[in-house]
Amino acid sequence: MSEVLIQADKISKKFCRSLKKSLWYGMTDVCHSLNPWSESVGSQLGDKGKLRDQEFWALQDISFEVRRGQCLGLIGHNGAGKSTLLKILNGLIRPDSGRVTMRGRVGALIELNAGFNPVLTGRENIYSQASLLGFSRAEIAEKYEDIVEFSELREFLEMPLQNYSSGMKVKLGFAVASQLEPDILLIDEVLAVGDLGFRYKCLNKIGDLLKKCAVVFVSHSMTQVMRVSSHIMMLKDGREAFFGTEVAKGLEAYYQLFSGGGLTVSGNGAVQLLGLEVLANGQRCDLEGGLRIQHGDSLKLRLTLKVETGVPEAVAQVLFWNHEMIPVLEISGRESYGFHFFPAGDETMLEVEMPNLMLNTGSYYASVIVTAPGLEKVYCQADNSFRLTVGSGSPVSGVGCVCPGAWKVL
Amino acid sequence: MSEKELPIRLITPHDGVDAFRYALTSMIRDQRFSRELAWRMFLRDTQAMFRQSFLGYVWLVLPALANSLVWVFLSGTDVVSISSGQTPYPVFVFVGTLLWTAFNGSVVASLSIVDEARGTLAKVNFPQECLVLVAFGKSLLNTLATALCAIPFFLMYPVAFHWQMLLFPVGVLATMLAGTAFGLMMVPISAMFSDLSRAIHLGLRFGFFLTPVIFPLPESGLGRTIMFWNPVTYLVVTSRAWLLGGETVLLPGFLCVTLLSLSMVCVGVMFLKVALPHIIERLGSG
Repeated sequence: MSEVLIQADKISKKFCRSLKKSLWYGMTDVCHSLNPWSESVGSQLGDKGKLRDQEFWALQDISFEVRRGQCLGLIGHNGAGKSTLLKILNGLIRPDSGRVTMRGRVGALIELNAGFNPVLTGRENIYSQASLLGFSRAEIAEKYEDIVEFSELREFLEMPLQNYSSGMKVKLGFAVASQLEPDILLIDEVLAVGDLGFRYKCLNKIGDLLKKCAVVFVSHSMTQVMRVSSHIMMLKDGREAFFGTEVAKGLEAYYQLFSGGGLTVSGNGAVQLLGLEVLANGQRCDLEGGLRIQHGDSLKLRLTLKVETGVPEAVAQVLFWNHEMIPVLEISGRESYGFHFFPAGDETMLEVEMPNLMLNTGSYYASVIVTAPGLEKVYCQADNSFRLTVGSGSPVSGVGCVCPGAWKVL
Repeated sequence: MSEKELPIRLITPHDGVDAFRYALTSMIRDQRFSRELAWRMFLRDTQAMFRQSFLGYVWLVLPALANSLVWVFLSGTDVVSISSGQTPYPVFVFVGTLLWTAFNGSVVASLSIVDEARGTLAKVNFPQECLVLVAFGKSLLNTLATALCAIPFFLMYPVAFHWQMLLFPVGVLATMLAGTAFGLMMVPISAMFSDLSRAIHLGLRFGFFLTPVIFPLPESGLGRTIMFWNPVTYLVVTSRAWLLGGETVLLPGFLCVTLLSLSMVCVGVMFLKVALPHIIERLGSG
């Protein structure tokens, strides 16, 4: 086992909802800590264990450890306490109770352009940013070329930073920060920037660092979390709602935080979705319901449609969206898209069976769409008509669908 | 795995003695880094200051020059008649305002260190004590620029050279130290409640008249009593006497104030270091 670099032991932090009160508490805290005779509570909860008026726990009893080579993915809803935790780990603010032990040099990829000055040139900003991040004069001189090379901004170095695009600023910031050689790396949502090529470069660079560091990684992109994390902690309202090495389970817990909203129906109304029945794995659910299934289960779907008389033919489709609202799977018919049918009578029942549903672990939302055969009219589009939660059983790669193949050695 | 000794940092809630001990050890550990960083930040800020102007660094000198020309004009037209002993009045006032600006500038600069670096403070962990050095450096630069205007002045109104003149820079530095000390002691509170810094800005305007800046120390009366309670008086009167010649009767007071300021700066930096996590927590990144 490699050595433990980050050890957090029951850390808690209070925040205050009202600004005036918050400042007042801040001032009393300052006075308290400036009084040399005041008792240090250390890791014990003294008075600090009580909430004052308008206060709430932003973090409560969070414990974990991260070893070199491990990466803790920190997930949770907005305001769950992820950034607060990172700020504590970074030593910017102190917990109200508990203790953190950090071993080694800390590098933070948090806000990459925090120290930039807009009127100075890129070159000047590289120098000031590098020294802000803790590079010595000699180190800057040694790494300057690498920074410029990494940033891909050589021809813009003499231009003032205010004329850089936001993507270019981030490139410059990342280029400087990437030259750090930390033991502990804290990353907060910085990867979702820059153009595609640069993003790959960043991910690769972080991949290199991952092997040598203990990493805490905060992101809302579950694909990235899956890709890099060895452990997952999910925070919910400042508390640890999930912690473990089973990344897939952590993600499932995360997906369950969000209901995804209710049914929304659009289209011209010539076709109405009266009812829906989903059958899988011996369970069933109706319109707006949800099912938990396993990867590879078979799924049967029954749709009851009310079709107006002026509609002689139509095409039905079922589409699955993942949590990031990207369509990942479509149930097609024999034709290239959907199922072509000719409604007879007032109500039409359709049934479709999927013998082997290839959806990967995660939460999915289904849309039922009925259109004219030429796609020129949408008769009915029922988004969020039902929800599928696909349980473990498929490899954790972050893709939407997993399809078994017949492999052999030739 | 790697056998090299890794630096260990403990992050716990701490108050009182513990907090001060932590502040002191981290400042000693980071002192080389913090000096380098202070220099880099000072360069960054001064380079950026006048980047958007044609005249550039000339703007450092212009306000001081304009200010002193006003006094030359006023004393030339006999609008104000204040007796300043043997020294010509414009010189007297020029030196007085130079010293006052040094004090005033240092107070303002050290009061605003948290506000100016707010974004950086909330996001990057760096030896924050370097901000004090940067603030001191910036007000030193301003004072030097003002002092540059003294050259044409002393050509116009020659003052005989005497060895005490060489002590004048010490006086200026002591005055700036006092300003920094005062500002630093207020920062932990003023960073959170802007009331305090507003009040100080207001108070400094009165302070200008409660200090013998544009007039000599009154011989008697209430004014004299008030000025004796004002520590800046000792600094201004003594430093000016060194430059322009005259009795330095307030020298003991000068020494006391300087020693006091020196220790207050040391304590103030520690205070800042201890208070900053609380301040950052309350202010966020704004």
